[in-house]
Amino acid sequence: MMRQTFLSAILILAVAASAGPVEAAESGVGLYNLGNRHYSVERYDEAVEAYLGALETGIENAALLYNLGNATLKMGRLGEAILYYERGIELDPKDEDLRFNLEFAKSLVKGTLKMPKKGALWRFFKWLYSLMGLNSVVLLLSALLFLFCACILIRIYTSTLRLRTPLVTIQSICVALFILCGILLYAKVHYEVLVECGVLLAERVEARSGPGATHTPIFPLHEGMTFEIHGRRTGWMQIRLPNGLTGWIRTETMEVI
Amino acid sequence: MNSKFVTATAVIIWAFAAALPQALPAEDLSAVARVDATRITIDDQLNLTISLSGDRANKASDPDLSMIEGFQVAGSSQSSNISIVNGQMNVIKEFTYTLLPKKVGIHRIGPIAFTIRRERHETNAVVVEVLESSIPSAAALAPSSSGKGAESGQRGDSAAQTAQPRIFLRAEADRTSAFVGEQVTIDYILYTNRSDISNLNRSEMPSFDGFWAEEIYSAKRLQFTDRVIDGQPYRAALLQRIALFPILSGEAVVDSMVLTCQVPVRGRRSRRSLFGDMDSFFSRGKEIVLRSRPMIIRVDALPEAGRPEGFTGSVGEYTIDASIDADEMRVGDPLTLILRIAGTGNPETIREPEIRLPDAFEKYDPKVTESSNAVSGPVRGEKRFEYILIPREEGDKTIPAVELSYFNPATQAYASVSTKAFLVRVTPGRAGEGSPEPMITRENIHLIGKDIRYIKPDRQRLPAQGRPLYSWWPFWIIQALPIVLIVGAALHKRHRERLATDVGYARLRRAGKAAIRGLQAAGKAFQAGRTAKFHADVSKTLTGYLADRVNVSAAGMTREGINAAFEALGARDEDRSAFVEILRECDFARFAPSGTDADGMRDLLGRARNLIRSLERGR
Repeated sequence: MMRQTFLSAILILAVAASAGPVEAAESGVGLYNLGNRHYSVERYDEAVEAYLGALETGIENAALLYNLGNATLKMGRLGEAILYYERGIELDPKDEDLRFNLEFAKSLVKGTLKMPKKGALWRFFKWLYSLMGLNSVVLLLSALLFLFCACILIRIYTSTLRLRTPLVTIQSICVALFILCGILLYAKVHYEVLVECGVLLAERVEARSGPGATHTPIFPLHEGMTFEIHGRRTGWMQIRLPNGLTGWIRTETMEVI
Repeated sequence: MNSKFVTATAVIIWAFAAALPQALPAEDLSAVARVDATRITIDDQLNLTISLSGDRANKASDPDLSMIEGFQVAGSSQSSNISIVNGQMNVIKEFTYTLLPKKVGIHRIGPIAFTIRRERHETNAVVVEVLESSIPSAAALAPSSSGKGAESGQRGDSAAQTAQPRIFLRAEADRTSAFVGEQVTIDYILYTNRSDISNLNRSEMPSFDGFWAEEIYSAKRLQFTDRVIDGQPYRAALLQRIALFPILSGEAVVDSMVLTCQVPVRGRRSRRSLFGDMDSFFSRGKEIVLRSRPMIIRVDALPEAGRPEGFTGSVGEYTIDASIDADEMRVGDPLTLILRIAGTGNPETIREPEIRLPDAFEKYDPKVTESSNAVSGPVRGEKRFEYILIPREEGDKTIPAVELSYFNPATQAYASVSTKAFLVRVTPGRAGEGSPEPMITRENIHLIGKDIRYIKPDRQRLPAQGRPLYSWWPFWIIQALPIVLIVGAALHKRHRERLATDVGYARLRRAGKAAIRGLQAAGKAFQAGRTAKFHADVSKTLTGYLADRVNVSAAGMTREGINAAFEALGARDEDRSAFVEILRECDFARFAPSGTDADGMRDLLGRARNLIRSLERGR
């Protein structure tokens, strides 16, 4: 009798506990769908509100961020749109729609950057980088490791010379790919996890040489431009543009991706 | 004076004052409810007047009409009349309500309650009989009439007995059943036998859900003609004529039209007011609500049988003709083709007809103009499609006949009409152009406009994405797995190799098991009663075990060998002495058999087992 009540109590608690986050998720999905309704009749401001509400319930999903990006873009808020698109790509790097829209949004950014020419190797690497997400790289590394270990296992158990050469070849290929993926992983971890990026939300600001309004402005930035964050002081951020220019901007004019 | 006395007096005076109003004789307050007719039909309206008179009538609250059943309150008004006669003030307050009957039957109105200074008073009750409608239904007057005329004739008599003059609104249709898309003409007619109507206002237009609607006629002024209904003369004015084309098959309902109008009211009692007898100028107008009955039209679907292939839904009767503006032109010069479709029916249902042009012509989307008119009855419409064609090849080309299929509700059959075909001669393009250079280039399919891609569709769930794999702890366990396997495999292989090659290692690993097996054999010998074998087995097992442990040959085990072995093993002294003792007993039993009893042997076996266990444990 006691055991039964105890078990049923556990069951009820478990159901209640699982119901909590499900409830939030349900209303979040409801807000997402509501936002879609508003978007479909071109009520973009209300769509944005609904999507933001869904975000607040804790949903981390690329579709939500994509739709939010679309809605803010339709309202003309370019910086925010790029922010949400970038966040969406972080969650789902393979999504074509996200990439397309991000490209489109970036093409609307005023102001051009003189980018230094990069070599073919760099471009190849860049292509490889964008090919896979962080998790995919990790999985690939893991698969290579397994393959390598499988070869070792086989070599332990069979000493026939016939199998030796192909096994060694496979192992060498594994090692080579492993190194390549390792580099990729390092790059990804560095850029996605360690280095923070930001996007400018204000229409136009001038980056200064130091964290203060008394410092000289050195270059302008337009809404929607993305940059790396290298330093912080109260109220100011040190940023670095892709073409190498560094400067300081006010924290409230930008948002971390 | 005593303070108690003062208090008591005050209380008595106060109580008296409070009770005073009740104690006073009640002044005359009369509350009368009356109606202007006690027998009406369901189409009529009833005027209920509540008259309160008395000193305090002015302070009366609005009467509570919520308990009145069977009637809907449509309008209300109130008036107060204060007169001073011979120094006495007399107040008369009247509340007038317009009631619309909801149900046929005998209804009791009241008593109606109201309050004066929180006192509740009631009027009398009145009884009103509501009869069936006396308006003949539309079916009775339509060509295909049923026998309802006679019935309503009887009712008509009772209707004529009602006190007030008649006025009503009726919707008349020229048919009660139609095909989808067939025109049904509805007339809204006002019937009356009084001549003093004013302020006609349309308060509610019917919505015509389920129909295409086109207004044919809307009256600016009321023009009356004489009509007789049920032997009663009436004057009828057409207010509006609408052409309705049903959209779906089934039962379609044409909603009511609601009108209000004003009729003057002649006062019932000639009241001597301060202003004398006012009649025509200041007589109040009464607002009447008129509602036409909803009509049900049965809509039949278009028949399937005989439906031609190119039928696109046109209902009515149509003609089609085509014209072109030239019959000879050069390659690349535009040619205008005009299709005119005209006839009776809803022009909305005329779709662009299919034109199968030869490939030699390029056709662009047509310019469509539509016109329709309906002077009196059937809606006539015309639709023009103007096409620009560009010939791309030279030669004699034919612009084929264009066919239009429609359903004629009059004949209840489908019909087709078509234009004639045109023969056109296309001469080669301008000199120097060679293969025809299109004057209007085709559009290369490239982006003419850029926009972002559309939002993602609705979802049931939005799962969390983007969680990095390395933050998931089972992932690391899985990663460690192959390494563990490899280490295990390597060790396993080493073990097997050693077993195969290293004898001493092999013997060492197997010593314990071999000893247990040997002692088991000894046990069996003991149970079989083979004393000699028993002792031999025990002895052999022990020496064999020791030899295995130190990897020497068991056969040549001497005392020195035993000692050396025990030294090498680092075993305890008592083990060694036990070992030696057991061996001696075995040798004794084997070579100098005397009465060795079962208990002794059992004890020996036990000791041997313990010794092996002890030595194994000490490894």
